[in-house]
Order: sequence, then C-alpha cells, then structure tokens
Amino acid sequence: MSIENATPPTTTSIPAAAERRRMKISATLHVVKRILRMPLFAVGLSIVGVWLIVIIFAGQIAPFSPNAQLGIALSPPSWEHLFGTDALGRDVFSRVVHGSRISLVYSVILVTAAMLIGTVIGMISGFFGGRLDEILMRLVDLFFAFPVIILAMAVAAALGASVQNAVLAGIIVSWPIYARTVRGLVVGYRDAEFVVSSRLAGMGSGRSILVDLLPSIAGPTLVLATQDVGAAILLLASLSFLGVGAQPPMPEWGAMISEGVTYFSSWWIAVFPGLAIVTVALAFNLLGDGLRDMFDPKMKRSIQRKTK
Amino acid sequence: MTIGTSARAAGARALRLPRHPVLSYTLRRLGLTLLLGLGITLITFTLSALVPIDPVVAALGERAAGDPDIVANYRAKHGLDEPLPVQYWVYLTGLLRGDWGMSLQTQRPVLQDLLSYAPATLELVFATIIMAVVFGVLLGLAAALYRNRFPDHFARVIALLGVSTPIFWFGIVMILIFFAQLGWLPSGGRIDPTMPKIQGGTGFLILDTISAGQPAMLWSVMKHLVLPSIVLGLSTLGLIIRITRASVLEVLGNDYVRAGHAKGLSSGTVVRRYVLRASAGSILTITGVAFGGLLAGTVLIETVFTWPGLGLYAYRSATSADLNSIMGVTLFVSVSYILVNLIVDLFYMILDPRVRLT
Repeated sequence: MSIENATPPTTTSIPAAAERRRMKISATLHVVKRILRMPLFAVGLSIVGVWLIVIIFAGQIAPFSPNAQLGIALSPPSWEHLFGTDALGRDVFSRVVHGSRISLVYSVILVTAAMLIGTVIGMISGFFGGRLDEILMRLVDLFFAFPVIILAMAVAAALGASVQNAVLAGIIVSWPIYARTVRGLVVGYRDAEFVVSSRLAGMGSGRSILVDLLPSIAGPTLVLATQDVGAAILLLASLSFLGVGAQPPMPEWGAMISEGVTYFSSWWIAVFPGLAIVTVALAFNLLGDGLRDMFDPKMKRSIQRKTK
Repeated sequence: MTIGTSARAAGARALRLPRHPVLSYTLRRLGLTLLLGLGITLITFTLSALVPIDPVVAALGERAAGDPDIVANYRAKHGLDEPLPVQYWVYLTGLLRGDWGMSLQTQRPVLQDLLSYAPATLELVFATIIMAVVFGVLLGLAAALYRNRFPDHFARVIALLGVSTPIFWFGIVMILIFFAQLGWLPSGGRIDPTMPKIQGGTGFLILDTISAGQPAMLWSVMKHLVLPSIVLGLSTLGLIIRITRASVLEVLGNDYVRAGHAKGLSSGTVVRRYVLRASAGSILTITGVAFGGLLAGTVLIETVFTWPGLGLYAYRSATSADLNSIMGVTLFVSVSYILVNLIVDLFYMILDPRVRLT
C-alpha cells in the first residue's frame, strides 16, 4: 500500500486515477476469492489472527500476572490453571499468553530489520554492479558459510545475553538471504524496458530504484519475509533456550521450555510453550507458502526451472 | 621489440598447463574454500574484538588483572596493544599453529577440547544423516509416485512440521514419551553410565564397542542414539523428502523413463536404474547443505540429551561467557561445513560431468 502511495502521480490524469481505484477494488475481490480457495492459507491466516488478538488483549486473557508466584508449585493442568503451574508456582497459561508479546513482536522486528538492511544492500549491489557488487556478494557468501544457530549464538554470547542482543544476532545472520534475493531480482529488472526507458527520459538512479524497481521486487521480498517470521521465532526461542537470549523471569517461550527440561514428571511446563511456538511458526509458513502461490506464480515457475 | 613480445606470449601459451577440466574445477573450488575459511576467521576475530568484556580480565581473572605488570605482560604477549590488522595476523598465525586459546571452563587448550568432543558429535550427525537420507528418499519417492494420495499428504505434513517445530522442544516431548512414560529408551548420554569405559578408542563408540567385541555395550550405544538422531533429523528429513519428490517428479516426465517402461522393464527397475540415479545429484547436494544445519542443531539436541559433544561444549561455553571456546566451536563447525560442501561439490562433478564445463 505504502509503495503505491509513494508513486508520485505526476503524469496521471484524473480519469486514470479513478480507473486505477476501480482496478484496485476488483483486485481486492479477486484476492479474497483466491484466499477462500486455499484452505491452508486461510488456516494460517486465522491462527495468526487469533495470536494477534492474544497479543493485544494479553492482560485481559491471562487470569494471572505472568510472574506472580501463586504458592502452588508444579500443579497439573486444572480449571483454575489451564496449563498448570511451574516450579515457582507461576501460572503457565498466563505466561504463554504474555510470552506472545515477546516472541512474536521481537520476531517481527528481527525480520523487518533484516529485510530492510538486506534489501538496501541487495539493491545497491544489483543496481550499481561492478566491484562493489562483487565485494558485497562475497560478503553474503561468507555469511552463508556459517550454520545459522552457531553464528547467532556466537554473536549473542559475544554481545552479552539479553533479548535485544539475541534479536541483533538474528538480524546479523538473517540479512544475507534478502540481499542475495533482492540483488537477483534487481539484476533481472535492471535492463527491463520500463526501467531503461525512464532512465533515458532523465530519471536519476535514486528515483529509478524507488519508482521502478522497488514496486517490482517488493512482492517476492515480502513473501520471503513472511516465511522468515516462522524461522525467526524458532531462532529466538532457540537462543533463549540456550541461555543467550531472554533472561528469567521473562516469560519467553524458549526460556520457558528450558525451565521445563529438568521436570520430567511435570510435562506441562515445557509442552505448552512449545505448542505455542509450533502453531505460530506453522501459521507463518502456511501464510508464506500461500502468498508465494498467490502473488508470485512467476517466482514459483522460475524456481522450478532453476532446479531442472 | 614487437617480435620479442609476441614470441614471449607464444612461449607462455605453450608453457601453460594444459586445461584439464577436472583439475581446474577442483583448484578453483579449493581456492574459494580457502578464501571462505579466511573470511570465517576474520568474522570470529571481529566478534572477539567487539566483545564488551575486557579480554585481559576474562583470561586472567579479576585479581591478576589488578596487577599492572601481569596485565602489561599479557597484553604484550597477545599483541593487544598492536593495531587491529596486526592483532588479526597474530590471531591467524596462532590458529594455524594450533593455538586456539585456553578454555575458561575446562582449563585446557580449546583445540584439544574440540578434538576430544568432535567424535561424539560426528557419530550423532552421521547416524542422523543415514536415517534422514534413507527415510527421506523412501518417503519422497512414495510421495512422487503416489502424487496427491496418502503418502504425498503425509510427506507434506512432515516437511511442514520440520520447518515449524523447535527441535529442542520436540526432543523434550520425545523424552517425556519414550523415557518418562514408556521407559523404552534412555533420556540422554551416549552409553549406559554403569558400563565400563573403553580406553584409548577412536571416540566413535559404535566402532569402539565393535572392536572391543562388546555386543551389550554396542546395543546400549545404539539405544542412546535413537532419540537424538530422530529429533535432530526432523528438519533434514523434511528437506530431503521435498527435494526427492520434486526431482523424481521431474525425471519421471522424461522420454528415457517412458522408453524404459516401453521396452518392458519393471517399474522397480525403472525407478532404481533411471529415476533414483538421475535424482542422486540433487539429493547429494541438499544433504551437503543440510550438514551445516545438522551441526548447528547439535547445539540444541546435545543440550537436551546431555550428549557430550561439541554442541554441549558450545552451550556450556556460551552460558559461562567462555569466548575462546565459543569462537573455537564456531570456527571448527563452519570450517567443517565448508569442507563438506567442497567434498559434495567434487563428488557432484564426478556424478554430473556437465558441471566441469561451467
């Protein structure tokens, strides 16, 4: 949406604007129809919707404060404590509900930042080419040589254990994929007629990138980002589980699972936060797959061609 | 003058090694791997240099760091007062000489620690790869041959769960079921702790117990491997299923497969001789890529299953701010990862001669 608004209406006359609005409405209808035809996408969308409600109304949904010690440790799930209580007598349900604010919000921040950084670097690399492109892409290759969790753990450990540093570590390991993807897209579009013609008409490189290239690469990049939210949630939870992310008593899902490791007889401590992670990650993966099929049949085809 | 240069150019042309495609491809890949390795050390060095902790205090402890003489000595010995490029050079030559620093928690040289923990991790990773490839290829093949029927749906669910499930949580759930509830399998470790230790083995317990002729111990080792390797393999399994399915579907559409059927070969023969062979390249490549993920996954899995390998070592180092060890593991794991990918690429070149020409 913001991209469309950013397009300056310099050459459009008024009837064209009306025409565009009509096209936009019919396009929206079209999208809604297609969503209904893809049940898995609809499932993903509903799960994300439910979690959004949980994030917004966490205070109202959770019966207890996430860190309140209620005096009854390790009690199994009951009507009073839907998900039981942990070793410190805290209500696991309330902690899972409040944890959504940490896990989901930080994951979205991580992905957004990685996407922005990767997009800028990828665009510079692809648009200007030459020596700079070579250097930037070798740097990207270098980051791909590290297994993700290992590098993220090293970064998080070097910076000191906290949620913010875990997010920073996540950004550092996640931007290269965007840089590589965006660069590929920019190289593909750089010599397209609509780009070349506006350059010939006197458009500078900055405006050419913003006006011609950005709208063309935004779709595939956002699809990638949607799928990446699932991976980001897993990464942040893993770092917290390893003790280099969220610190106690923060109700972060990964940290809650690690608190449950030592209590084999109290399965509910680890199981419920894990289920929360699975549902969110699953939902974003379904959303991402659906978006890819919906908005980007071209990319799907080109991937199939590449694997041949 | 002009004659001289052109003659020299001709001479150089004649002297140049004949273009051998296999050799030149191998050399090129080796060179790239070497550069990547250098890049990796640059990153671990940068990370160590970025650390907010004072390296002197970290290495010597608070008390010794109070003594200016000791501090000055330490700084001089490790080149900490030199400019960063010089420090990097000291770091790099140190690495090459086998000086990877001391571990704070074990009080031993990091490289020695890494080498003693590596066999446990490699045993786990190899067991996982074997399982993931065998089941992944079978399931992927079934999914492709019975497209949009039960095997296909099943494979899709596994692939989706593989990218959506935190493996450390999956490990805990498996322990809750198979250890706490059913009591079928152990909850962690590599072997029954009451059994005697085998002295001076390779560190690969399967090999050690076989060569020591101890079937009961081998059985115990196998039982300890089951849960960790299943859990570690979940996401790789999904990946291999997807790749196998896609590449088999592609190969099935080819004329030579139809020709195989037409000349009366049984379906099994066609699948084995034509389809799987053609898909082997992409399965091999993806297994190489997955190796990095598996090595990284061991950090989580070894922590859950108290498996005494590199992953558990990395976890313990990270939680005790033992930077030399963490950077050591990072370096070790990343370098093994690029080496495995080098080997995979070279194998791929042998499998598929077209690669050499690019």
